[in-house]
Amino acid sequence: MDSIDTSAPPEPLLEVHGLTVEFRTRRGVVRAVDDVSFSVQPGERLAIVGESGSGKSTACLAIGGFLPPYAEVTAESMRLDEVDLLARKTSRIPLGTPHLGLVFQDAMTSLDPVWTVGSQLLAALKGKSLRAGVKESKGEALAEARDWLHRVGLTDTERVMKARPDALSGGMRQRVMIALALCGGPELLIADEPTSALDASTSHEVMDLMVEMTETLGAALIIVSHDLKLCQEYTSRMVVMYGGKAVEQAPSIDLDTTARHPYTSALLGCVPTLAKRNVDLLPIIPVNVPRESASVHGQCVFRDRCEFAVAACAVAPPLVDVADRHEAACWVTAGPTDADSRIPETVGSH
Amino acid sequence: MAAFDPTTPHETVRLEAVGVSKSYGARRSTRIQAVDNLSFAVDSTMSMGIVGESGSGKSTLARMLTRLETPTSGSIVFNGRVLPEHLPADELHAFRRTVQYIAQDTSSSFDPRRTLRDAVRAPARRLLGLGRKEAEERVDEVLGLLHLPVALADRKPAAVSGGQRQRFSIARALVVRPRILVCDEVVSALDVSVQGAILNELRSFCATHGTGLVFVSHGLPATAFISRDLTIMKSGHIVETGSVDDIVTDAQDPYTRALLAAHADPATSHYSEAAL
Repeated sequence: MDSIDTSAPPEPLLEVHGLTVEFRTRRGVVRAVDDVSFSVQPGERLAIVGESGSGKSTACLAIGGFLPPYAEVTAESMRLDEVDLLARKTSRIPLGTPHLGLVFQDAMTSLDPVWTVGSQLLAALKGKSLRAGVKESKGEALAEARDWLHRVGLTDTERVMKARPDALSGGMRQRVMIALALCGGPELLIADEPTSALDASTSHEVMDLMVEMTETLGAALIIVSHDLKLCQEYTSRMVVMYGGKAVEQAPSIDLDTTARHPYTSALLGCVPTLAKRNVDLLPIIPVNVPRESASVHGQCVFRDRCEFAVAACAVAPPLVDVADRHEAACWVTAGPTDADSRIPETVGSH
Repeated sequence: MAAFDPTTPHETVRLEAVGVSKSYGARRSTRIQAVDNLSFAVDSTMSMGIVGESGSGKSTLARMLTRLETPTSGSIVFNGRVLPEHLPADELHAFRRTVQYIAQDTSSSFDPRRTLRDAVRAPARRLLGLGRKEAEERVDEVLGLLHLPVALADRKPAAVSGGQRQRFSIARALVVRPRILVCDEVVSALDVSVQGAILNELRSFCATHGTGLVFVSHGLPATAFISRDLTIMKSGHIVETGSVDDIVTDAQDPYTRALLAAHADPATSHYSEAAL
């Protein structure tokens, strides 16, 4: 948990600059991700949090190259280690991307239902040895597959190897997914809602496992989730997304007290806790409006739901530094004292 | 048919499971005992949360209470009367008017080819026997109650968001004004901000209409908010039952303590030490 390195940051492992993803649909262009930038240091754990529709999953799928051909991915730069992710052909799903492992929310649909777990693991290991140019005998591959199941905490390896995904529990399936994602030796593991389908104690076990495994392998981890509390517990830094925009980037640990964007604060306030069991009404974020139009019209994406909204919010605020390693995009709450001076004069305040 | 008209609000409706067991799987080697000789009772004045991990049998219990699943042994008792395995249609309708079930997975609990309005109207027509016009009024009323825009109702289930679809499935259950509402993980798949809104609406409906609530969930904090009493389940058994306050502040069972520790927040963090 204390892997935060405060010395001068080395070359980041993943660098995403100005990532924009648009879907062309019959009803027009939907901008799911709008000018999002972040970076991940080697071995770092980053969380991308937001509600459904915030673009968090789309951003990660764009990094993984898993978006369908009708999605238009543009960025100033997008680089993983030495690989330029923009130069990659996205029209076809690559069989095991080197450097990158992915774990999805629903292991039931991302594992092949007609293949046994063993054969799926063997296929992944074969892809790895093909890339490395080494020939692995069947016996060696089988031993390695068993070893991986052991490492993700599946002790009953013989049964699991022969089982199809439907014969395993949700937690076990997610462990198999983690083994599949890590067995290729990635430098970055992206986990998209890895625990949303699991109950509280199982999701802690799965998170513990992912953190432990990536730490052992020296891999970085991106967790995409709507569960703020879970992300706070397991990551060092958090990107909060709303309406396709990154509205805040901050250290996870003390976000409860340091959150600067009204959306982050509102979202933190919504998290149900045992302490709120006797309140009359749970806090909610007012009105749920279609949001994709906001960023297209250039206004702040959270404007329609924000209690602090002022006239200046008709122009989208940029992400600005508010503290050490902490950025937020809000005219009202994220400015130092000279906030007004940064509001474009054409708009004026109030 | 035994004379009961449980739809009159002042009469308390009682639903019990007496010594029920349920096992799945035909072969002995693969058989799973989901619920094991368990007794449970709720009435229309209660709000009971059932909390447990996946596989604890909480959903099976909920489905047996609502006659979506037949117990392998034991019986379901409704207003003091043991329900036979096969209920005549009119009695089943009376039961469904009184006890309604809401499922977690809304994408599979709607007919994809019919509009959401059709889905919400159906129980009003078939269970309450309302005319078309009265049924439409009922639908509009319940949509208003749940803050659902009427225009959305003319869409197909796939054309609305998950949170909206879950509201429609709640509307479909509330349209008959049930006296006992059984909710199986209704907010687990939703964003926290949407969860809060739905929980608020459910709680206010139950309070104003005198509807009892059985709220099955693995999310302890949300369950603690909406329920007055809690039942903790593990491996097909009830390990602890009591009022929410008693359980949160003074849990007796070690498993309950561990569950609380997994949800520890500053106010109850002493449990994390107890669990270690």
